Amino acid sequence: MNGKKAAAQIPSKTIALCGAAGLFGNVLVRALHRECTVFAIDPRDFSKRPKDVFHHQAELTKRSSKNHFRKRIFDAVIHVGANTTSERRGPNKFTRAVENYAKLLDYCDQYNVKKLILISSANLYGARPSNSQFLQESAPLLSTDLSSLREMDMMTQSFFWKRPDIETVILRPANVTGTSNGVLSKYLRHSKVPTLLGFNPMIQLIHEQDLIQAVMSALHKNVRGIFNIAGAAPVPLRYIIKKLNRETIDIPHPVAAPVLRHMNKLGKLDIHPTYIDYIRYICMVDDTRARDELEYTPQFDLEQTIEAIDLWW
Amino acid sequence: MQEWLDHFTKWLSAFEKLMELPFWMMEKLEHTLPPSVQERLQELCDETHARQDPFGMDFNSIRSTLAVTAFFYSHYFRCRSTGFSSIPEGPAIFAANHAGQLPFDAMMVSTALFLEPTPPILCRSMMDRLVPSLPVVSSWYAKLGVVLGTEQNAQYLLNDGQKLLTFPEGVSGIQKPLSQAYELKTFGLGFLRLALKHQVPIVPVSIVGSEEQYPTLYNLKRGTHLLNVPSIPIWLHMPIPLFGLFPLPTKYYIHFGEPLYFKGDPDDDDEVIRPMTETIKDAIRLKINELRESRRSVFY
Repeated sequence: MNGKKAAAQIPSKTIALCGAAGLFGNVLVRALHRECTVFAIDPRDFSKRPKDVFHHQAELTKRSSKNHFRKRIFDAVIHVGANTTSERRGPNKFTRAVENYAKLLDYCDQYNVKKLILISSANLYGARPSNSQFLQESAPLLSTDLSSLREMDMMTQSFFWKRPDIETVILRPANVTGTSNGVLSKYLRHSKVPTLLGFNPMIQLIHEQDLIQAVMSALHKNVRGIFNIAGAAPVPLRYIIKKLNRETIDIPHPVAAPVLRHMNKLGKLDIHPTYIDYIRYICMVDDTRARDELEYTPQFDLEQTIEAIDLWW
Repeated sequence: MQEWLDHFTKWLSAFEKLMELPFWMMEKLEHTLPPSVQERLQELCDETHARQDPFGMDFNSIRSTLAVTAFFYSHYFRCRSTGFSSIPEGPAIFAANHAGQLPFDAMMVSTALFLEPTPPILCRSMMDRLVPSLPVVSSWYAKLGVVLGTEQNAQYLLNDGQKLLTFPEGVSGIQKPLSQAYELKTFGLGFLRLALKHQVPIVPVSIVGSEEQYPTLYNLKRGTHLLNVPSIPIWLHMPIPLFGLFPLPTKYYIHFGEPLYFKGDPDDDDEVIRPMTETIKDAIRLKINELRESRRSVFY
C-alpha cells in the first residue's frame, strides 16, 4: 500500500512496537512511521531510529514500561518475535523473554489495546519426516528446540480465548531474507555451507518487504487468528546455495550433530546442531488463509528473494 | 586441527562423488532413449516446467531415471501392459496390488503410463513415511515426483488435477512372503475417503510378476529397529554374490481396469467404507487370477 494514501485513510494510529531495535524491527519501524505514530519499546540502543519515533529503552517488565501503556492508548501492539532464544542455550535469556512477553499480554489486557500482532515463525512447526508438504495453521508446533518464540506463540493462542474482543493476530512467516539475520540467512551466509549428504529439502523463503506487507494488512484489516505467510515458490536447498555461488560441505547425517557442535566450538560455523532437521526435512507452510483474508500477495520473485540474503551483508 | 579439518573435507568430497556416480551413469544413458521417448519427455517437460512443481519434481532427473526404468520395463521385466483406453482424463487415483520387497511395481506402472498411452500420463506415487529419513533416496524420489503419502499432499495434487498412484495394502503388501503370493492384504481406507471427498474415480491396477521378483522365504523382525526398517527379508537368491541383490527377471503383466466411481460420505464409519474397498479388491483380484492363468511361466 502506498504510504501517503494509507495515511489519508487511517489517520494517526498509535502503535507500540516491541523489539524495534532489531534488524527486522528497524525495517518495520521505517515502513510504519510514515503512516502511524510509532512508539518503540526495546532495551537495546536505538539511536538510529527515524526522528518522529519515540524510543523507550527498557524491559517490558519494568514499571516505566507499564506507565507508558497506562498513560497512552495504543491502537495496536506489534511484537517482533525474531530475537528469540532457546531454553537449552540460554535459560536466563529465555526466562526473561517469556516474562517480558507475559507482561506485554497483561498490559494489552489491562489497558484495552485494540490489536495485538505477534510475528512468530513457520519454523515452529518443526522439520519432521512425516510433515505434509504444506502445513496449515492448525498443525501442532513440534520444533525440537523449545524456543522462547514457541512459548510466546502458545501464550498468544491462550490470549485469543482470554480476550476475544482484542483482535489478536499471529503471523508465522517462512524464512525471512533481507536485512534480518534469521537462522536460514545466517546459515546460507557461510562461505562453505554445510549440507547433509543425500538430503535436499524444499525451502520456502520470504522477502522482508513481503512480510512487512503482510504486517500492514494484518494491522489495517479487521482480522484475528493465525496466518502462515510464505513468499515466492519453494525451491530445493541446494538450488539456493548454487544461486548464491557458495560451496557445500556434505556431511553424512549420523555424524552431522557432533561435527557441527565441534565446528561451532572452533568458531568455523555458526549453526546450532538443532538446526540439522531443517536442512534434512521439509517445513513449509500453506498460506492460503493469508492470501484470502489478508489479501496478501508476495511482490518479490524468487531471484530477488534469494539475492536479498547477500544484499545487505 | 586445521589439517584434520582439511582431511575431513577431502574425505567428504570423495564420498560425495562416489554417491553421485549412479546418477552420473544414468545421465550418460539418457542418449540411449529412442526419439519417440524423447518427444514424450519434451511434452511432459513443457507441462511440468510451466507448473513449477512445489514438491520438487525435476524434469532432468525424470529423464535420466527413465533411461534406466525404460530398460527394466522393455528388456528386464518385459512388461505387457493393457487397459490404457479406460484411464479417465483429469484427476484419478490408481489403486494397485503391492509386492516384491522393493517398489519395482510402482516404477513399472509409472513407466508404463509414460511410455504406452498417447499423450503420456504423469502419475504421482505416494511414498511411506520411512522414506524422507533416507539419504539420497528421499531427494531422488522428490525429483521423480514421488510425494509423502499424507492426506493433505494427496488433496493438494487432486485439486491440481493430477493422478495419484497408491498401494492400499501398504508395507504389509510389499513384504509378503512367497507363501502368501497374490493374497491381497487388508486395504487401507484413506484413498477411498479421498476419492469420495474429491469425487474422483479409482482405477484398479492389477500387477502380476512382482511377487516373484524377490521370492521371500522369511521376514526377520529382530534388529529391525537398528536399521529403522519394518523387517529384514530373506529371499531365495540372496546368497548368490552380487546377483542376489537384483530382482529376478520375472515377466510383468500390468492391467488398468475400468474406473470405479463411488458415492458417499467420506467421513462415514469404517463399516460403511470397507465394503467399497472390497469392490476394488475384487476387481484387482479377478484380473490377477486371469493373468496368472494365461501366463505360461513366471519368467516368459
